[in-house]
Amino acid sequence: MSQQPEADAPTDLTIADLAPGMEAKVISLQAVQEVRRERLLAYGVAPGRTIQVLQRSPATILKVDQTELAIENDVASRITVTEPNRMKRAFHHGQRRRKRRFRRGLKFLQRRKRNKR
Amino acid sequence: MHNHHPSVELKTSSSIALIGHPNVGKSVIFHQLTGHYVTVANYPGTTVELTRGAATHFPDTAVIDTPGILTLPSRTDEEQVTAQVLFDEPLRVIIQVGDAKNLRRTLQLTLQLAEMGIPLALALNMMDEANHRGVSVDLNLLREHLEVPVIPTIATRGKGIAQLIEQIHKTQKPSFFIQYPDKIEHAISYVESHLPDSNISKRSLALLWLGRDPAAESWLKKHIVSNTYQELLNHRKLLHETGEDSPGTLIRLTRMEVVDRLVNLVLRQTDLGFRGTGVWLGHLAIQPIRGVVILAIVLYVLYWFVGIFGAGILVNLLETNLFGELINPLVTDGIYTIIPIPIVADFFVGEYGLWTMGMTYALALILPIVSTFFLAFGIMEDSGYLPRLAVLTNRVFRIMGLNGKAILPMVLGLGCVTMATLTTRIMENKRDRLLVIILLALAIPCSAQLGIVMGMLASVSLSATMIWLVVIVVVMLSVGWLAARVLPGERSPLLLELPPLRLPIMSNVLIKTLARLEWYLKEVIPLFLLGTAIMFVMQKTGLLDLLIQASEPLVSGWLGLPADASAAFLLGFLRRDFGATGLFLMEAQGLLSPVQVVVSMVTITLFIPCVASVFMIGKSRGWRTSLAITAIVFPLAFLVGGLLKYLLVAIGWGI
Amino acid sequence: MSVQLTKGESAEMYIKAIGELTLEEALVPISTLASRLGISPVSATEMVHRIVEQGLVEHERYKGVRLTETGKRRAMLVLRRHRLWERFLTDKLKLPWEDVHDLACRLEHAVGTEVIDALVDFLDEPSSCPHGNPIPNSEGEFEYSDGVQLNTLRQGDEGVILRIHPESRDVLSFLAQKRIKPGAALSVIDVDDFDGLLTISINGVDQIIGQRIASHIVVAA
Repeated sequence: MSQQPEADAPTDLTIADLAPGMEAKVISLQAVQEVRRERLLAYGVAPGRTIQVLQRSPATILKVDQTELAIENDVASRITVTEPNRMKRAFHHGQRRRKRRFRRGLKFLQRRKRNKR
Repeated sequence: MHNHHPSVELKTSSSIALIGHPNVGKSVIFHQLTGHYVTVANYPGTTVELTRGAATHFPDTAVIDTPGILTLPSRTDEEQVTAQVLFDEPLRVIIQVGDAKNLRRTLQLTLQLAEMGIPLALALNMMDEANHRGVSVDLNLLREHLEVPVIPTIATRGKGIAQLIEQIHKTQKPSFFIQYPDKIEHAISYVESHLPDSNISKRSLALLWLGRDPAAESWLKKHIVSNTYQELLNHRKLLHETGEDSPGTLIRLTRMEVVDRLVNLVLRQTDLGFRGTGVWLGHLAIQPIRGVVILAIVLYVLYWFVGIFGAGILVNLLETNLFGELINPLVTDGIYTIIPIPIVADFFVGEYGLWTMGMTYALALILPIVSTFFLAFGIMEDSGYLPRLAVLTNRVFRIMGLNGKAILPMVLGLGCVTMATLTTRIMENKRDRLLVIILLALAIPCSAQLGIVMGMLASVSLSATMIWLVVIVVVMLSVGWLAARVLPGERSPLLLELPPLRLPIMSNVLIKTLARLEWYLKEVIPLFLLGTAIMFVMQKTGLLDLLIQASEPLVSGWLGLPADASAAFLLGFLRRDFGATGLFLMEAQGLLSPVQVVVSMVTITLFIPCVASVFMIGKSRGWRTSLAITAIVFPLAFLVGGLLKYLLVAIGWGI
Repeated sequence: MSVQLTKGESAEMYIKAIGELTLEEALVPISTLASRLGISPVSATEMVHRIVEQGLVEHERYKGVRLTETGKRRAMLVLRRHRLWERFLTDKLKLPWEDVHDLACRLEHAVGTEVIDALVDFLDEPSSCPHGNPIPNSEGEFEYSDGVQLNTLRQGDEGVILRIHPESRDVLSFLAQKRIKPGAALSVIDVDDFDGLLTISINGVDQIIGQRIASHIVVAA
């Protein structure tokens, strides 16, 4: 738990930095309090596993495998993740809105990263 | 949740335990194996205590339904209850009920159970939901690797249960073995050499000990000498101090690796994921604005069904027409002819008669309201809406130092505060549990009372309902806010699984409603009769007049209600819905003005729920807590009621 | 990235979708149409009203929609362009089989008849798209061979895959992964009576697929 997987370059990104629709791999939960860390691990939010953020407000909604989890943003900001990948599916006309929202999310992410530096 | 069938001590030589994660369908399978009904709902934590039933297909065997475990080594109270079963019960077979669509999580527990050396079968439940998501499991391959029978089931539809029963006969001690890192293996052999024999294998007991399982700790404390226990403690402490990861973490990581390999082998994406209406609605229900709109619709339907239909139309039909015009005149005449002594006859059919007051209240007023509420609540529960409500209301509960999970006992409290007090176990820690209990006792009216309150307020005006609602919410928020700052400990943030929205199965909802009604009436009718009897005695001895006079400054002076309302408040000590019913009758006779209705409803809502709930709080949180809560709630109820009266009169409302 | 569609173009999308779905049933329910296009039933209903006014479709209340003669002709011409582009993208540009459907969705509205005629010549008048669906001729007519959906087959049945229908990116990329493409011979090894999973042998490999995806695979038995 304490050592980060070597394969993923360390970032200071957390789940709280991801916009809805983004997918990323979990790097570490070390900053989460132990009781909650154990529960998150049990739900499958574990280093190396891919999570998808479905929603950010009023709470962060995550999808891990087939499980949907609601966590408070405070907890989300303690779980570090890799760079998010691009949203996988964006096709046809109905998805245009989602795609737009996703692009807005990317801009948001870049801003966040700039501010952190 | 409360078990509606009193669990009889079954004299059986062996038992079958149903173990699994929360909300995977253990209780449904329990029902199918025993024919007993346990309250089932679509949210985690429905079963908070053990339920036993005789197995239909196995002579001399009990089936045990356990609370769901998320993590083992256990961390919460409910998980400890389940861990305890593993140590104390003569288990013949463990049936793990697993969620087919969350295979990783399921197998994590399977491996642990397999290590225990008790015959094991895995019922892979909710195959239909996995199917919907296009996920399937190569069962043969899984069986081969686990060497454990794996049975696909869809418990709600009874699919696969026959095969499961058949497989129970064939289960054997599993031989699955995991090799842990050297450090852990050394520790295991050291601990093992100190362990006495138990139901589970020494290896798995040692692993639980190393993971600091409280149930294992207390079991060991009882079964080994204190010197040895101390040695083990020191050994574990030393182990914790060396190396970065705790033994518990190392063990977990090793298992996760094994599970990952296994899952990669047997899990297949065999179809397209299907985003049905359920998924769409499930996401909609937790969005900031649209979610609130949905909540408003849900609340309106609830209000219409319970407040207008139940408390209005049904009560009217039963109370006025059936009881008032048909049954009661008949019974009254009958009793007076059979029993010629007036005072004895009065005891049954007089003003405070057991039948004319006690039973009429219970059957004509309370029953229709409670039935409609439990029905509506059952549908809400089974649909999986409640956890989404928790997400939506999280911020509100944050003010009160809680997280959204508190909504579950709160909404259940609308059904029955006593039942809800039991469910506070789903809260993470003692502090949260106590906070929820305080709020339950203070501000959550149970359905019977709520129905009456809604009915009465609706008959006054919409603004009356709004005033009542605002006052109750404000009181709840400020008391919660204060209590959260006074009570020691930290708030635990929300961390909650959202089960998929499911279309409730009506037969399931109906059985549950009936079971709850039965439980409720068994609790309510004796109390109602007792209350009526007390009132009767007090009236005949003149004590009632005395008490009414004594409380007149408070009830008439401070609250500005008619003197007769004192009687209702006296009844409220027994059950607050009983008190509310008294007020309801007064209003029906035109004795209460709009201001008086609102004031009396606010006061009676803030009352202590009922004698039963005080007992329940005492039992679960200690008598001092129970007394303290009572001592705060009563004065507060009157204080708020009186202040509201002055406010309403001052602004000239309702005149 | 994506082209903004004009009103006329989205009308084309609608009638194309209806045209595709009509192969199976005479009336296409609006909900089916909506899920095919990935939009909400409400917006689908709105658009349907608009194209009803243009005389392209007939709407039977609570039952669904059907193309008129004009609508059908136009739908077939869009399908023709779509499938020709798919051919071009796979055969000439060597783009992945599962990606060309989406790409063609954008190209089909873009150019006029003369380009399409040139494309036909260039491709040597192909009769079907890479996913096995027939390409209508310039009159909007086409021929196709009868087949059955894979999910209706039983254990022991054998057949050759004719086409993937209806096409969508999800379906195509799923099938591409398992190398299930038109022209391949398959045999059904097992149909699970619990969850309806089909085990099929294709290209010498066993694949397990679900009922939903199997209904997209049309087989000549």
